[in-house]
Amino acid sequence: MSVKPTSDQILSFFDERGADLKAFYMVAAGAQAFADHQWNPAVHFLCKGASFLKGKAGREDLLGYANELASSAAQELRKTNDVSVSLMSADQVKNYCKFATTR
Amino acid sequence: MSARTSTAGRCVLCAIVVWMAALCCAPPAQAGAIASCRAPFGFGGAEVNLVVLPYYQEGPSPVDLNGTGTQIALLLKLETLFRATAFDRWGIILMTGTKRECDPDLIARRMMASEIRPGGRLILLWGKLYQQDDDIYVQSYVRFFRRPAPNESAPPVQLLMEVGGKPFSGDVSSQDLVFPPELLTRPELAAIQNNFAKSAFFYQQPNLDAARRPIPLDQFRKCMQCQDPLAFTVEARQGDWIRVKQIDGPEEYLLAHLEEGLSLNRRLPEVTFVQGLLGYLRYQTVSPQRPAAAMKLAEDALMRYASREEAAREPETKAVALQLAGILDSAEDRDPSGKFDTAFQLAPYSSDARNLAVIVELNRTFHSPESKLRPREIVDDFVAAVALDPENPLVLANLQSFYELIASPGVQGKIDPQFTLKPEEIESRLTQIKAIRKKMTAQSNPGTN
Repeated sequence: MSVKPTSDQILSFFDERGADLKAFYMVAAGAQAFADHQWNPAVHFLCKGASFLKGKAGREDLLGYANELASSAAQELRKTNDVSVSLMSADQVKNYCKFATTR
Repeated sequence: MSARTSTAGRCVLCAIVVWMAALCCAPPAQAGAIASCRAPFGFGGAEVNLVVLPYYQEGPSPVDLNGTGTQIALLLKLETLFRATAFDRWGIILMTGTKRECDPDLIARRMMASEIRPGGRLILLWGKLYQQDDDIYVQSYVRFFRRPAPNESAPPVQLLMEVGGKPFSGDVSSQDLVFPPELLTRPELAAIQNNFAKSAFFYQQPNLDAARRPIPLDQFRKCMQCQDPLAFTVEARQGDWIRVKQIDGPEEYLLAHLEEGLSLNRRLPEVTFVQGLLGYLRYQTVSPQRPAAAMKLAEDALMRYASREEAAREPETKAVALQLAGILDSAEDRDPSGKFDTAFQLAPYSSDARNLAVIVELNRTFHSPESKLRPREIVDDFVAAVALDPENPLVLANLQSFYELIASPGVQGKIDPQFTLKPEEIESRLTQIKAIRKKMTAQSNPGTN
C-alpha cells in the first residue's frame, strides 16, 4: 500500500462475520516484524497470512502485499551469511510464499 | 475432643495420607480426581494426566453462563472417563475455582513444575461460553505437553525414523489447539442442566433411583478443602456408568455417559479428539509390545474427529488429528503418508506439517522396491519447509541427513537419474547446512562457545 488507508478501506478488509480476521492478524504481525527487522518471524507470518488469503475474491491486494513483503524480508535475510534462506535460489526467493506453501 | 476420638482421627488422617501417597506415586491403572485450581493436583505415576478446567463466560450476556460452564466441564470429565476406560495408566482431574485461579497458563506451569513426573504427559482442556446476537456458543481449547525425562534436555520429537541409516524426525504442527465454536440451542442448554442434575452425584447402585450423595464441586470451587483433592480409582465400566472407589469408601457409581437431550460427542466433537489424544500420548512411546487394540481405538477416534464436518472449520486442529493418527499408523507399520499429505494441505503454512509429509514420503519411497528417490524434488520440499520457519532445527537436520543419504554409495541405485544431484553440489550444500546449523546452535546457546 503506497498511501495510508482510510478507515473505510480498513473496514472493507473485514468479512461480515470476521472470517478473514486470522489472515489480517497474520499479515499485520508479519508487517510489524518486517518493520522491526525481525526477518524470520516476518516471512513466517506473512506466508501464513498469504496462505489464508489465497483464492479469496477481493483479497488480491492484500495477498500481493503479503507476498511482496515476504520476498523483501527474504532478500534481507540473504544479506547475512549462514542463514537458512541462503539455501534458496533467487527464483524461489522472488516467489517466496508461493514456493514455501505449494507442494 | 476425647483422647480416643483424637487417636481415631489421627489414624483416619494417616490412612488418608498413605492412600493419597499411594495414588500419587504408584497409581492404579485408571484414576480420577476433583481438585481446586488453587492446589493443582496430578497423579504422579500416571503416564498421562488430563486436566479439565471450567468453561468461563467471555463477554456480556443477559444470562450468567459460568454455571453452564461448570456443568459442561463436569459432563466432559465424566464422558472422558467413560471413553478412557479402554486405556490404562491415566489420571483425569476436574479442577475448579475462579477464572483467575484456573488460568490455563498458570495451571500448566504449576502442573509441569510439580505434579507431572519426568517423562509424563499432560493434557489441558478448557473453554469459553459467549453470546453472539441471541445465540450461545461454546468453544474448547486443548494443549498438550510432555515433561522431559531426566536424561533429556527437551521433550523428544513426535516422530523419529531411520532411512538408510540416517535419522529423520518431525513434530506435529501444533500442540496448542483450538476447536470450532459450537452453537448451543435453548433445548441443548436445558439438556446440559438436566444431565448435570443427574450426573453430579455418587450413586450407590448404577441406577438413577439409588441412594446418592452429591459430588462436592462447590467445596472445591470455594476452596474450603483445597489442599486435598477428592481422588478415586476407576474400577470398571457398566453400561453408561463407571464404578469408582474412594479410600475406605464403598464402591460407588458415576453416571458418565448421557445421550438424552444432548450428546456431548455430537455437539462437541473435541470429545472424540481428546479420547484419541489420550490414547496417542499413552501409547506413542510404548515399545516393543504395543497394545494394538488400544492404539487402533485411539487412531479411530482421531480419524472420526477429522472426518467430522465441523472439524473443517479449524483446519490446523484437523491437521494435527491426522498427524497423530498417522504417527500411530507408522508405529504399527501401516502406510500413513496420505494422512500427512492431507494435513499439509490443511496447514500449508506450517513448516512442521510439510516436514512430516516429506519425511514420511521419503521413508515410503526408500522402502518401496519399485520407487526411486527424486533428490531435487525432495531437497526443494525440505527447503520450502525451511522457508516457512527459517529457524526450524528439525528441518535443517533432516536436510543434512538427506544430503548424507544420497551421498552414500549404497543408495545410488535408488536414485532416479533424472533428478540426481552432482557430488560437488551435495558436498557444498552439506558444508553450507552445517555452517547454518552451527550458527543457529551458537545463537540459541550463547554461553556455550
